[in-house]
Amino acid sequence: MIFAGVTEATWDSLVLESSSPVLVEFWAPWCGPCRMIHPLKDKLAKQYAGKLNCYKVNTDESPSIATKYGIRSIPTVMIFKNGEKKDAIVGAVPESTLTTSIEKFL
Amino acid sequence: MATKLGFSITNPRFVPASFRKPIISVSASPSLPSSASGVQSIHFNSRKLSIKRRLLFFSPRASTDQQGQVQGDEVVDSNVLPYCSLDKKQKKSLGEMEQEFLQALQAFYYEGKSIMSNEEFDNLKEELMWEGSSVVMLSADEQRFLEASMAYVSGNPIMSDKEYDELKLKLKMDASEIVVEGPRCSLRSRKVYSDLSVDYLKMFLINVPAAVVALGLFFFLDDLTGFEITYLLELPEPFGFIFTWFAALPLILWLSFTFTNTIVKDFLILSGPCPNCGTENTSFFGTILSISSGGSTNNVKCSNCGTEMVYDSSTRLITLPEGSEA
Ligand SMILES: [Zn+2]
Repeated sequence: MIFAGVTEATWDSLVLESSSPVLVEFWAPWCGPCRMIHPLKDKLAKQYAGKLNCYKVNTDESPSIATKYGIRSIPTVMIFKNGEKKDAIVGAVPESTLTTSIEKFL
Repeated sequence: MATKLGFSITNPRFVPASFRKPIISVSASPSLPSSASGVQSIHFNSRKLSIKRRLLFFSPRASTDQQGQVQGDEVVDSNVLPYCSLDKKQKKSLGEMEQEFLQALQAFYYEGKSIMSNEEFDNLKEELMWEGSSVVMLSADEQRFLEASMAYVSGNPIMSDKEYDELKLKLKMDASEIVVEGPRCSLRSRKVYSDLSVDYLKMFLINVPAAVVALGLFFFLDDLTGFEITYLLELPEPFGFIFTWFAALPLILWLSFTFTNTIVKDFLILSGPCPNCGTENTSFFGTILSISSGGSTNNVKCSNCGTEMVYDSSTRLITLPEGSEA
């Protein structure tokens, strides 16, 4: 699995203290639209390997992270750089929408 | 007749979003008081040249600052990006500049203070236009929405949830691209939502059958009567041709649009992606011969995976019926 999971315990070290931009996907096993973008994320993680770290957060297991960043719907993809939240994309969007947002911060 | 025809064709329902958007954005693009955005875009090219000149002017200083004993490649590098090395900062990515731009707008509108000088703001705006950023082209409502989204995440909301949702719905009705979200689940209610948008092409095509019938009838009658309709006014040849194409045809098209509108009232064709498989499905809203298609909601079955969906034209949302699993 290319997409490693992040929990409350590892959030700071993996996401906020990362030296390269980080993409985080918030998801839950009961969410249908989340499944739609699974193959897409794996593809993106390969495409931007080395430039972008990709993680996923299970909102059932780590609800406090979702609350902290004001997430109301999943899937939500967030891009972090230097520990700051830079962009958020809500919903199962087409690949081009995701790549445009990623390119902006690389 | 001519004005009526013009009206029915420029009726906003038939104008695709892509045509409307630039019109809104040009007229409503806000800017700090000193910078008139209209003037700026006219002088866009010359201003860019002046930036380049400034870069050249700064470059000797930058290289003496940084050069030291380093020679060769290093010197070339500092000449390439003298503007950035002066700032002692890394070149900002497009996204970061957009964020800064919106923060400056937000500070100005909601806190009444400037977080950067007018000159800095103008430079940032120019840079964004040069990079082809869409943020500087947004309408006032769109910028307000982006600011509100940012403020919400940072924990200092600038409007209530209700105002936020109303603004979002308004932008959705205006076919703004910035509020488009993919199919998603609400974390709180666990309900599935998907956005609906107006299918302008299909709304146009619904007028076609009546137009075809009317046109067929016109040429049929014309033929049957030995082209008497076109010769009705006994016009000399070039004028007869002009009459057919510039008066008779527009009249027929206008009549068929009107005819369609009396049969199908206040109609709206909405399309949106299925929350399960992403296939676009369309649904018709309106009244056919004064029989309503069922109020503001329609039940739609996905053509690809068969998922039952509920289309709501007032909220422009697709939901799944109660009790079903996504
Ligand atoms: Zn489907």
